[in-house]
Formats: sequence, structure tokens, C-alpha cells
Amino acid sequence: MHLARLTAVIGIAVASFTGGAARAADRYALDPMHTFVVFKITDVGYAHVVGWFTAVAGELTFDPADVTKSTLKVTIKTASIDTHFARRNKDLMSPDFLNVAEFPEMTFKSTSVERTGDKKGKVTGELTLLGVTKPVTMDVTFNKIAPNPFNKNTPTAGFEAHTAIKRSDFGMKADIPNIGDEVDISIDAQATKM
Amino acid sequence: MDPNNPVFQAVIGPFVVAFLVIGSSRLVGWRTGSEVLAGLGVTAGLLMAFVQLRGIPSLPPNSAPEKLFYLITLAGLIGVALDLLGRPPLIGRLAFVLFPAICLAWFSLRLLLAQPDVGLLIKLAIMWAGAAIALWQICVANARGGALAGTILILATAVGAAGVAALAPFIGVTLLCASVAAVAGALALWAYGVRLLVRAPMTIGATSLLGAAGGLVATVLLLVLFTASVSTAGAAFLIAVPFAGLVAEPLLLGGGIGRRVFGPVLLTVVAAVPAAGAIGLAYLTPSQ
Repeated sequence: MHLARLTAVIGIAVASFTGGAARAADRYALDPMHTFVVFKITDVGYAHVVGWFTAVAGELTFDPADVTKSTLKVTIKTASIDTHFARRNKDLMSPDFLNVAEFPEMTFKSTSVERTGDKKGKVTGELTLLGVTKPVTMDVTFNKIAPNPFNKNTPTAGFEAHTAIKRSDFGMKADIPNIGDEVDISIDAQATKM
Repeated sequence: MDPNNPVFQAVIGPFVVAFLVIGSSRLVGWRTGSEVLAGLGVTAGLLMAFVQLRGIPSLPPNSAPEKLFYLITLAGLIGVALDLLGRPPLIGRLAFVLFPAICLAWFSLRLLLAQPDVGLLIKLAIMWAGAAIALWQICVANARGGALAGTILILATAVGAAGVAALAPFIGVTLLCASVAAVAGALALWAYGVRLLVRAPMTIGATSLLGAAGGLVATVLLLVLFTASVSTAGAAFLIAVPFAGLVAEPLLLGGGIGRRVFGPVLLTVVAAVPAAGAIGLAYLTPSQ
């Protein structure tokens, strides 16, 4: 009896120390209805062209107790680009830019997560675009994680992220500098626990 | 003019380079050397346009558009080899027929490795047949009607292709086709000038012919293979342009000042009709 109670106490202590291993690194799927990947690029210096990708899918493993162990994998269908002007969309899908016929997807796979503040961090990973893979770092803000009352109280995590890339780094050199080389990317995402 | 202006990059710059090099080739006493140098001017103009419009491609090339740079280079080099070998007829024409196959095989390699399917293979076979027919016809027209016949047909086809590409839209190909038109125009201008002033026909070698026509064919194949929104009917109708060369011989050959001055003009007008037809078809039958 004494031994059984001691074992139970040790078990509870270990579980507490590991921060509830049963809760660590839960898997979440990006909610396509509430995930927005928006980009902005200068247009002949007059203003910016703003657009987004409508077909985004991904998986997040998130450990609130130790966010540095989190991982993110995202796949975007390049043909889902939308800049609210059909002819420009077609131009951007052509081999001059996204070359969707040859490269139907772009992907991001995280390699490390760094915590920089209370709800802020940096996620570094490999972005593969036009068959070229380069490291990219995003500034991430973790908004919240809670049961979603509009989705049967399923735990939902919300993030936003910002980064900038040079499209020429990925071989997309057409029309530089008339169309800017630097592309600002903003991401707002919700992910639902799987 | 602003060097970043696409018109300068695609048309003016390549035209000037080709025109100057072709002109310089006229000073070379050795006929084959002269033809090779002129052809290198054509290839140099096209490569210059490519680099200005798309930057220097990676090595090895990562995507189909980057492969186009090396295919244009290959067309020029095959042409040089043919000229230095004395343009053996069978090998020469075989090269013109096989070059599109090389382009298609290399362009579609990634697609075939990712998801080989019978539909794609059939499409590639049809595209190869069309491109080979067009190149063969240009070759025949050049052999029968001389340099002006070949260059006018390449010029007209390039203008038609530029229009079809602009409607797709694929601006990069539009501009590269305009570059082909520019270098073909430089060749045609010299050939016409020599015809009027010297009364002896200027000859162009395989370096010029395959350099310009091969570069154009590779560019159009890139357009059709990788742009879902291109008008298939418009692109297919471009094959008809080189057949305007069937009237090249009666228009261009023979004596008489009228034929010497106006023959090339008439051939240009005749070749412009199917080129305009291709653009019209592309306008009327757009893909989604």
C-alpha cells in the first residue's frame, strides 16, 4: 500500500514536470476558411499590387508549453493566386512568374522556432518556390488558443506572421525593377486541433 | 531611351546588335565565315534580349523558361556546325526536324517525371510535328527563294507568335518573339539592301536560319506547353505562315527592277495574312 501510493506520487510528479506530456505538441490543421496568405509588391513605383492565394493547406504541431518544439508545414496551390483582375492573374500564373504548369505548388517547412517575447517569435523554415528552396524567417505573433464556440468548442489556435522575400532569389526575375523584386507577405491563420 | 524599357530590351537592342554584326560579316572575305558571323549576330541579339528581360539563367537551368536560353544557344551552335560542315542537305534538314524534339523533351522532362501520361505524350507528338513542318518549310523556302524568303517568313511568323502570346497573356514570350522579329528584320534589311544595291543575292547560312527560326520555335513551344490560357487554334495556325514561301520563288526570283524592288514587299504582305489570321483566331478563340 505504501509502495503503491509512492509510485502514484512519483507518477504525478513526473507528469507535472513534463508539463502534461499528453498535451504536448498537439496537431492542428490550418483552417482554409480562416487562413489568408496575402502578398504585396510594388508596381512601377506608383503603388502596390495586392493579392492572395486562396488554396492553402497545412499542419501545425504546437506545444504551448514549449513553442520551440512546434513545427509548421504549409502547401499553397500556386494557381490559386488572386489579384482581383483575371488578366493579371493569368499573367502571374504564366512561366514569367509563378509558372503554375511546371510548379503547381509552393511549400514551407519550418526548421526552427525561436521565442522572442510573450506572444511573439520567429519561425525559420525552407520555402520552396519554382523548384528553388531557400531559408525564410517569419515574425510570428501568437494570438490565442482556446475552444472555438463557433466550431463545437474544438481547440483553435490563431496566429499572424510577416516576412519579405526577394522573388529573384527563386528565379522569378521577369520585369525587375518595373515590378518590384521584394514581396511582402502577411499571413493570418487559424488552425483547428485534429 | 530607358534601358529598362521592355521595347528597348526586346526590340531595339537586339536589332542594333544583329544589324551591326551582320553588317560586319559583309566585310569577311570567306563566305562561310561571313555566314557564320552573321548568324552569331542573330543568336547574340536573342540571347541579349533574354538576359535583359529575364536575367542570367541558372546553370543548370531550373525551369523551362531558363532552358530556353540554352536552347537558343544550341540552335546557334548547331547552325555553326552545319555551316562549317558545308551544310550537307540530309543532315541539315534532319537537324531542323530534330531540334523541336530536343526542345520538347527537355521542356517537358519535369512534367513527364512527375506524372507521365498518354495525353501529354500525344500533345508533345503533335507539337513536334507542327514545329518540324514549320521549320522544314522555312528551310525549303530559303533554299528556293534565297535569304529574303527565309527571313521574311521568320519575321512574319514571329510577329504572329507575338500576337498570340500577348493574348494568352505571356508577356515574356511576346517580347522574345518580338526579339526574333527584330533580328530577322535586321537580316531581311541587309538582304534587301544587298539585293537592291549589289544585284547579287545575299546568302544566309544555317547559323542564321536555325538561330532565328529555331529560337522562335523553341519560344512558341514554351508558350503552348506551359500556358493553359493560350489559344490552341491561334498557335496552331502559325504553321501556315511559312507556307507563304510557296509563292517566294515566283515573287523573288528572276530579272526586272520591279520584281527586285517589290517582290520582297509582296512576299511580306502574303506572309502577313496567315500571321494576322493566327492573331485573329487567338482573339476569337481564347482558352479559359
